[in-house]
Amino acid sequence: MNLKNKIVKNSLYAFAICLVWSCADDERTNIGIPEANLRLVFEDEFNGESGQSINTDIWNFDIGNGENGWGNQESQYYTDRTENISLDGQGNMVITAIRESFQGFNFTSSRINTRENFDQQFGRFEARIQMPGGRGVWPAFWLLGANIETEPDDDPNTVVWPFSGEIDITEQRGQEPFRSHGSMHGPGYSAGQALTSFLDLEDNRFDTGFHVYAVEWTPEAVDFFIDGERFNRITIDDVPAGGDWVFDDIDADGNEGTGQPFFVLLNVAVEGTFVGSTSPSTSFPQQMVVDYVRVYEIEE
Amino acid sequence: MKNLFITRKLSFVAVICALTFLNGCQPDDEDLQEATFPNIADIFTDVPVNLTDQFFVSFDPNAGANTNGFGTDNNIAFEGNTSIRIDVPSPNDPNGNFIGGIFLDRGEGRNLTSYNSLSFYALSSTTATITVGFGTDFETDSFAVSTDIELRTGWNKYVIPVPNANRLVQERGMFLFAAGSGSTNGFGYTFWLDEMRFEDSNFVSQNGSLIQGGQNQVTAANAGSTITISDTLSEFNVTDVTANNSQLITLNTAPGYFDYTSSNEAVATVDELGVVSILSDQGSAVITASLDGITALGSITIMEADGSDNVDDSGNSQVMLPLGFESSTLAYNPVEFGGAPSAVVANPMIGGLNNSTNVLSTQKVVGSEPFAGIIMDIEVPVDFSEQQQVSALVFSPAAGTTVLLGFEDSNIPGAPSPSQIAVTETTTVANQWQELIFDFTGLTDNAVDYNRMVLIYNNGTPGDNSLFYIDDIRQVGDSDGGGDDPNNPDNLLENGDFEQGMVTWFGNAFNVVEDGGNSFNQSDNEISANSFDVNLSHPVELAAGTTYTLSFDAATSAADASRTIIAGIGLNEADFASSTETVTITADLQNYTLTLTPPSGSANSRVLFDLGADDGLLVIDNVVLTIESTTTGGDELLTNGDFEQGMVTWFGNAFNVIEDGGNSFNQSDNEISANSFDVNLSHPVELTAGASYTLSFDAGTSAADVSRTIIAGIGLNEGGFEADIETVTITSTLQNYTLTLSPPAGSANSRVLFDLGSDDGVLVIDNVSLVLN
Repeated sequence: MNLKNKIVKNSLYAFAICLVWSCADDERTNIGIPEANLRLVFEDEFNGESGQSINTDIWNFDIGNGENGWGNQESQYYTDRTENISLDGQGNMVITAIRESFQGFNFTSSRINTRENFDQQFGRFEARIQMPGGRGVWPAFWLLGANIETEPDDDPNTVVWPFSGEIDITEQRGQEPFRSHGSMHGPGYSAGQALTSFLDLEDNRFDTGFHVYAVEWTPEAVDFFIDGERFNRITIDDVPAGGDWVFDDIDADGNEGTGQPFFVLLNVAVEGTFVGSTSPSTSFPQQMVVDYVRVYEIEE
Repeated sequence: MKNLFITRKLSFVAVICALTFLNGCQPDDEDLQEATFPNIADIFTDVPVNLTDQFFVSFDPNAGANTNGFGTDNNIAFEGNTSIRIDVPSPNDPNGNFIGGIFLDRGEGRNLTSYNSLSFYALSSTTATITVGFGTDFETDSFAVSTDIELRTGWNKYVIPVPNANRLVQERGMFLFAAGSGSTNGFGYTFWLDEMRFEDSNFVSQNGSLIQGGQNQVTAANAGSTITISDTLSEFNVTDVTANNSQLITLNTAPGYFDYTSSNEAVATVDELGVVSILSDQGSAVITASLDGITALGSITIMEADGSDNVDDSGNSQVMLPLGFESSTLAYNPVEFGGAPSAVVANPMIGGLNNSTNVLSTQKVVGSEPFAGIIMDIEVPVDFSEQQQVSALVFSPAAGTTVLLGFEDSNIPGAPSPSQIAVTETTTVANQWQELIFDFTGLTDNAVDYNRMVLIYNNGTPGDNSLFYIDDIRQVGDSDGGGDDPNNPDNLLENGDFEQGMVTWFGNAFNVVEDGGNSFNQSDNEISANSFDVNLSHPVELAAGTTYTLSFDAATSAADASRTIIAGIGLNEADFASSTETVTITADLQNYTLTLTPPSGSANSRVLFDLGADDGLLVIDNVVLTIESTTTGGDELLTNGDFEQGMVTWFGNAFNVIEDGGNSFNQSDNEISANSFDVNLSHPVELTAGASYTLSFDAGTSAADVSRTIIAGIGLNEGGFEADIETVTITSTLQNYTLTLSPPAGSANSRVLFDLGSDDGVLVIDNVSLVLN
């Protein structure tokens, strides 16, 4: 594979500049948890007729622009229209970001989540996706803590972001289509201070073909993979002083933690703090094509 | 051209391994197409690579290019020992005030299809902006690319993306630069270039592109004519991973890089260099483009045109407006100044907008003064007291030609005469007749005899022998003197769009806000005892019994969701008799159109908005009051069926009038919606239940959409919205559709309707007519 592994590069790849890459097949070469120890518990293969909407027994739509552009000054209005999200008849789900005037916003797109339909603590969360590109386009495949408080309330079982935790399996800037960011947000390490790393493809781009994005989340660590190559591991030891690890039942101080299941989100945002502005000529529509989403439990 | 010699012995540098480096999974070698020409990447390392010693070809010294400042420097280099050194002259350098040219492969050319960018390092003695590029070979320049870069006082890497590498199968223009002292306050400076080569970088990706400046242009079809695709740009994202930033680079991109599609090859075809040939003036065609597989913004729609109302002044006994240059007895006497000979000549392109025989030509010759033009005496002075706009048909070899049209009193001496009034407009198409409107509103003085016309093409630019033509110079616009709205001369309101600010309007809700160049009225009120306690009014003269159309854009805030207002027209004096309607305003800014007949008339009347009956924010803009034509059976029932009055009368979210070449039409592009009526276009009209009407309209969709359906009909604009409708299939050929309809119900509040939501795609609609049978 034409991947540059951020962790194990160096000497192995010292001669890469004159190397003719091998034509290995595209089968996943999982260096993480052996497949034998993974049990599939959730999947959506997105099979169905072209133009059909997605399975709402699994997915919820986030509609609108949220508060302050979903907290990020994003410019799109999310809809559940099939123009913005539908199956393509080829076994994929397509989220389409469109430049159009809609409800006072200049772009439309979609964001979906499995909240209250499916969530899980620990396991392998995986999706095969061809990403959109273009300056100002911000696709993501990510997880949020199921106890996130979306409307202010007094319910002690819900907490506001970032106390609920967030795992970004991939998020990308359309103007850098060779780079995928993997991040974790929690109390003490959110937004610009998130625990994050990225992987750059060599001689390849995320918007020109499908790639498999995954995290393997155990009580000890969260490992980030692209096409089976692990490019980052984040553990409780990475949490800055004063921060809390909200991804296990034990917190950073060894006390009972706030571990909980996480649900899955997929979206294409347009503009915002992470990605910056589009240009008037940024090509639209832009499409995120998702072949599947699968979640595995880890068996000992 | 002058060749410069680099007096240095050349050595052939071995092709570095990067050139034979293959991407991941390439087909087997036997499947690879043999490159016909060498794919050498390097241009300059320590020496020019695989170039002759005459690789630099300067721009023309006769045009000011200085050929003395180009050489190499053995003391400064980014890598190795030697760089290219360029001394940029000062403005008064006798050897030329700028330096520039190309690096030419004097051999057979190179195959650059495996590279997506040209990179080099540069260093400058001062911060300066220069132009760089490649693809210019001083022969065809078919794949020219250029962009401006800022040089700095340290070595920096610069990347010029290749817009579409597939085109560069045999390229000889390796590099281009042009540098003057415009960015350095007139001081000369020196810069150095090094390590220049084509690359295949993973950090370069296309962001988008455009043709025709990104505009969707519409032009009249003239069989046999050509249009050259122009204003072509591309954008690329270029990431510097060490600096961790992604720049957006905009390239002037030769039309030859794009792939073109014509929706109707019987009407127009496009060659590989972007020259559109119009084969027929029957039917329409849409020209679109893509760059390396990504759709470009902008298009040209070629439509059948109606040129039936050209000016015929052959019967006139004096030179006067309108001017058609058709008389064989009148002495049109254009007098050139500064080198712009002018004459009445045959129409260079009969058809389209201009079917007349004769036109006025002007040639701005090489060597002319930048201000060269003509004056022509008008024997009957132009009377601007009623109409302040002048329309003219112009034919220019280039889009972007400025046309200055002026009038003055020849008896008030001076050059120009202090009496002169002038307006400049710009062409947007090349080699096509185009209507330009010169608006002299606010410039004219009724005491002046405007007995001389002044005409200057490309004022401020020296001539290049370009030939320009003008015809059909005539006054247009409203004659009642009330309308100052350049977008709608029929508007009776002077400040209906609030662009003049806090004038004319009155009332305690009058509060003009300016945002992004647009002014509008914004108020926020509580409910008051009387609805008229909170009000906004614009004075206007009304006549009793006349029917008026009041149109305005309005919205409330998202927080308020919706609110009502009372809108209408009436007396501004006792007894304040008026004709009003209560209108519900939503959070979506939209147009509202009311048809109103005031019970009384007076010079002291007004348009009124009473807000006190409901609370909340109200934004109001583009208030237009027009007199609706009186109608009788058998006559045209629609006042703006041809859309020539612009964004008035019609309503609905598909209402989008585009004006091009003197013709206005409605153009929309919609997705499929839940209900067919979710996307709609309507024109108010009064209908009688059971009567028979004929609805006729012209419509077309785009080539890409091939065909689409719409629902067309007539019906109520209230209550149960009963209507008589038909589903019509529209094709990419613009054609007329005629329906005979009988509405089940009638009311003064009825409409012609087009519901588009049951199918998707582009829809052009024009010349809508409704008559009572």
